[in-house]
Amino acid sequence: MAAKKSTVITAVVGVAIACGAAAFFLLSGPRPATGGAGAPPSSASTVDSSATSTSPEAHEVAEALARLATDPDSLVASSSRSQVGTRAREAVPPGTTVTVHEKSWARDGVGGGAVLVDIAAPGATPVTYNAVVVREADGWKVVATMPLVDPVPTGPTS
Amino acid sequence: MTRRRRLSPVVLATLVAALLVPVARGHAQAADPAAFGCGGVSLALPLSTDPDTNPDGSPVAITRDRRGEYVPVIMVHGWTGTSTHDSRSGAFSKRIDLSTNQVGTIEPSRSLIGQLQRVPGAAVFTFDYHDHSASWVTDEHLGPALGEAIDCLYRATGEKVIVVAHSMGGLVTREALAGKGTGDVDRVDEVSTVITFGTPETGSLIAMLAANALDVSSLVNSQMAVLRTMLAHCGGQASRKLETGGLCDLLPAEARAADSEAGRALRYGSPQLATLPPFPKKVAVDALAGDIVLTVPKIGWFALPWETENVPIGDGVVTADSAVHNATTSTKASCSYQMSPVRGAADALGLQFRVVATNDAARNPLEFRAVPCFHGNLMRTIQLTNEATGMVDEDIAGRRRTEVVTVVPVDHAVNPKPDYEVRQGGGAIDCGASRSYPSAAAVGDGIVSCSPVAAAADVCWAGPDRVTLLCGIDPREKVLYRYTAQAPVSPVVAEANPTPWALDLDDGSRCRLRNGGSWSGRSDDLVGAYYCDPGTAVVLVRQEGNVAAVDRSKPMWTVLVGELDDSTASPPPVTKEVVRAYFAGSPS
Repeated sequence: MAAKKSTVITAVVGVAIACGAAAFFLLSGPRPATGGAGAPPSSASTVDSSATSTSPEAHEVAEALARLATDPDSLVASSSRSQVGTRAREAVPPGTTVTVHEKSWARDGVGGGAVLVDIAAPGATPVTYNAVVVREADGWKVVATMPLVDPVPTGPTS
Repeated sequence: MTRRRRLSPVVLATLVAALLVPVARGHAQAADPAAFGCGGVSLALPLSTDPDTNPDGSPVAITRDRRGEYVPVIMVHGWTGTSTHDSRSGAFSKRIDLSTNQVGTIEPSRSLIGQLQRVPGAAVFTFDYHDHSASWVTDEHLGPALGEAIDCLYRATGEKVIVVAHSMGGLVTREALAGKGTGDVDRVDEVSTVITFGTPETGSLIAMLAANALDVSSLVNSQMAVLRTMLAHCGGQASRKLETGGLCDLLPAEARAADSEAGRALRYGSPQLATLPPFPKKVAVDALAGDIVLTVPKIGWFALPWETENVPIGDGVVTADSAVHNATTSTKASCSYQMSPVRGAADALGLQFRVVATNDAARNPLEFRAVPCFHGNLMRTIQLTNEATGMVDEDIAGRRRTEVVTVVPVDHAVNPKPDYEVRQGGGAIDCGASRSYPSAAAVGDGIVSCSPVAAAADVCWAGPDRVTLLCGIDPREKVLYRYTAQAPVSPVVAEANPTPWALDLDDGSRCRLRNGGSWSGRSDDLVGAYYCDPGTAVVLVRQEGNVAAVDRSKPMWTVLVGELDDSTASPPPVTKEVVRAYFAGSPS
């Protein structure tokens, strides 16, 4: 009984630490992608709008992209439909944690823009993507993504 | 048999056309191109401050071509640009300072306009529709206005116009060439060459962004994603250097212009593009294009990668395929980069570019370095401006043609014309006992070739008595020599392919058709065909094959000139242009 109680306490503390760590990373801005995350119990999404105030449009984009965790197919841009087909769920598997960095939103000036999105799929290394989005008649959609890379060291090729 | 054939219709037509050339070019041009008096265009004068310079450092100057003529060259800018050449801000006025090849350096000493002004004969004019550049090409200030300027310059100079256009300027030119022209000359016949820099012949990539197209190919989708990323990055920059020619200086303005009347017309498949006539086949179109290929690692839709990571974006505004569509000739400036998104300051999107190919120059194309292959920088890219300059030079130089002079020194009764002096020749000459042969230089009937060589009687007109002959030695001289034939001359007709009696070469040499005699040889298979004065060089012809001494394959005829040295290693011959060629004609 004592052992069982100890296990529960340990689990609760572990979850609390994990949540704290996650909150720290979400709020702390730039960070390297880290791996080894275990599968969360269910899909989750977070909108990171901390640190600076963002525009209503940025918030709207972030809110829309938060649906990636639950309904990615609804976020496929019409121009990308032939390439994605019905595989949106493969691109963002169930159980994925999605974090949209609202303050990274940048308009392209022609009806769209780009925003950074963290995707932590179950059992996979978390990846931060540059998501290219456009506004369509029924809301913001994702045209394409490009994973972020480590900055190129300053030198002759940068 | 062939010696007695009549002149073929083709040869006759060629000769007649050649004879007509001086008449067609008899148009008297104004002393100064500024006096052509054509509205809608401005003569681009060499910049007085910060001038374009020649390799020796001297300022460029406008000069006539070797015929003494000016050829109008009209510069037509694109969407948001200007053509006016009064500073370095015009689309064609910036210095040529970019190269797709990072090996070596460029000494930027002149602009495209300055470079064209160095071409002998090129009178560069600018057509500037900046205040109306958001309108479509059918606007009266665009295509129709350019057409009227072309008409006027053609009338003022008698010379076909050359058009150099950037971006939508090429479409303005297409619209202009669809016009009727003035008088009895179609406008298409008033223009010889069109050179385009990044003209969206089938539409503009960036114009598609504003359309927010719903149904595009996977390639176009990738292209638009890349462009949107670049635009988003540029828009997110709090501060950036302006007027560097970096993509962030140029791309946003192009994107904003895409939401204009012209921008909407420039979308692929737009009804305006569909109804715009193509360039007429009679006009040579040299299309110059930027060809940027971005490698974007793992581009896709989150965990689904696209099939290819290489995204060609043309010059960033117009794809290379669109820019060279239906062109007569084309040249692409190629640049390859790897585009990688990074996390920038304040959690913003950042982009980094790495050079993919070793011969690409720009390394920070978004911000601080101009990209040679980008739409707005094509006229700063040496590979493309050299091509354009070469085309203009070739076009103007190609207008030079050999003047053909047919000398007819006698009348129908074979009396010498009044301005000719007749001198007594030697004794009786042999013009054929049973039949006579036509002079090789004759383009008319009744002109015979006689011997001996010493008499130089290979161009002779037989009188009515068939024994009295008037022979010419030099077609440039008003002198004839009277001879008597040993036997009556029989009627002759000219050869099908006559050889010029004499040639004036571009170095001032005056050459005369060989009329026999013993000449020295050479170590190669060339023998003498014409002797020239001054000097000892002669016009040469190959012994092998049926090759004429005068190459008439181009409007400006050429010959090979060299020494007869009897050596075992004769110096190679040099090619000379034939300024004037003389033939012997009969009274008409």
